[in-house]
Amino acid sequence: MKTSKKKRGIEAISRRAGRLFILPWEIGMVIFIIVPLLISVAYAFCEVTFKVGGMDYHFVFLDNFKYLLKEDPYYTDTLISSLTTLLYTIPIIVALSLILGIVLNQKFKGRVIMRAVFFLPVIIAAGVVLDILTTQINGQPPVIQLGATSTSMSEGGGYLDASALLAGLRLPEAVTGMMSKYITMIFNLLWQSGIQIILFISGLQTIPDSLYEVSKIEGASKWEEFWMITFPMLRDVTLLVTVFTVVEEMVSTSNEVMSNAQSMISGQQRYDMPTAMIWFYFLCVLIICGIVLFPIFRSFKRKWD
Amino acid sequence: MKNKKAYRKYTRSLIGNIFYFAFLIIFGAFAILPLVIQIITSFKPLDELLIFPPRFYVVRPTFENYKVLPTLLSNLKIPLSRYVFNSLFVSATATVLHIFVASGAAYTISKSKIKYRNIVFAFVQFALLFNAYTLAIPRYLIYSNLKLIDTYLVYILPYIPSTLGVFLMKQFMDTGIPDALLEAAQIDGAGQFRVFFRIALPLVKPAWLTLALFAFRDMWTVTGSGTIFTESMKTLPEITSTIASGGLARSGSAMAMSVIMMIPPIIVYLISQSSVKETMSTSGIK
Repeated sequence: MKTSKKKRGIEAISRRAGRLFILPWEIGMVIFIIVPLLISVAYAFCEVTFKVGGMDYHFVFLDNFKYLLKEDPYYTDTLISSLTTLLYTIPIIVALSLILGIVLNQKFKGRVIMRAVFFLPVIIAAGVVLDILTTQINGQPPVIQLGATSTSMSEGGGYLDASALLAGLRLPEAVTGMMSKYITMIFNLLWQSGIQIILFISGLQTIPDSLYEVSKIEGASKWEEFWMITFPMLRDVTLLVTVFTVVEEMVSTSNEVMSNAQSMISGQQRYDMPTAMIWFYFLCVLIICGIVLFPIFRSFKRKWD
Repeated sequence: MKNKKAYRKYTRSLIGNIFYFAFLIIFGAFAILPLVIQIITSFKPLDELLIFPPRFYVVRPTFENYKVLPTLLSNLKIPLSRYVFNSLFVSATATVLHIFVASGAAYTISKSKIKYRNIVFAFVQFALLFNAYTLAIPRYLIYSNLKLIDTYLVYILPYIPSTLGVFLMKQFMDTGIPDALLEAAQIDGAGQFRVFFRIALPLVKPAWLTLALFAFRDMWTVTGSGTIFTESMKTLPEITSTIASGGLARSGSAMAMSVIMMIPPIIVYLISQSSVKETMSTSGIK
């Protein structure tokens, strides 16, 4: 928005200070992200075997990928199903959390409590608490059945199955079956929206009230207000939320490619094939994101700037 | 529900209001139900835990599950408070450091004119898409080369440069901090660090409070699986899973422990969200 202004006059921050501010992060990034990333790329192109005192690498180039796409009976199926799930869950999660964010940002009694209610899944769906909810207690089905759990840094994955919950209500089986399908779906979408809701709320709070005052004076309806002020002002936050949701969904172990790769790493102690699986999947997600998201945000930018 | 301010007044019809709150309550119920079950289960005596299908209420509530927690751990020879300390220390340190490091990086990407900043930001977005599993093994090699294994640093250091915080802060800084304000401050003679700490950071307070919340949540559940071997260095989640793996008799205590585990993130949430309100609603120039 202000790019033209930036070009002249004194700089917002000097280059030297800028380099200094970014330096600690750069050091950490090289050590804990870039180097491990490069090693993992190397794994994908190698055959990794264990020997006494370490690992043995044998460069095989594209063999791992060839095997996955041509010979592995499951990989292409799980890949396609994971990608299609991504394509429909992400818009739903973003839209749902936008609606909930707007609703929760309004002034009403008990707002703080309501916000807390929607944030709770974020806490519960993390790490060990989720593990406990998912573990089979007493050899019975757990109170709430959840599927795969997650340990990655930025996820809220985990898969809820409401059927055990409904079993407690003693309803006819046909009703339970139908209900549990939809309830399971709502559970999952909602439980993955906690962070997104918070991001939208903090985005909404940065919109100046004066804009709404002006639109009120100009006689805009609530509907126009939303499309002309709220939505454009949330553009950056929407991009952030979308990327965040893609990340969260992609790395969530509730999707098949990830859970297969994970079980291969922990079960068979293999590193070459799972990294190849994840890298190829990652490449597909990147391409799809590029095709779908980039033009959308491009056109947004043109329209509103 | 009466609104106090004249503008942004959400005047709806009665039906509109009913719809609104029905919507909130239904979704709210979905969000909170598992938590309610968790709390109820933690108060169930053993015989009630065994009933199938599980009940939504407890007939004879008991604190027994909470009371036995310290004794459950006594065979490990390390008091529960040690694990609590470990978790709190690791989470707090990593959260604070992550906020400063990520804000600094985001500030440079957003506001300076260093040439490579666009490349850096592209990389930030790219690196966001990585799962801890892909990086777990290479990271282990790095920990062991840096002699970090079995120290607190193994929990803290890898989290500090995580890219989500940089991405989040950058997005908020783009719109939240006007360049003109930074320039004005410099003309008035403020140094670069002063501008950063006194002007830039306060302007995006909602952003870093949100980031604090996320970071704390991530760090609170962190376990040092495979990299921490000393028992007294382990964190609360690890000990919770130890209790949970105790089987039949421990299921109530596992629930009790998981209820306790949820308290600190809820406190951090309440603090961060209540102070968000106090900060700016305008972008600082007026």
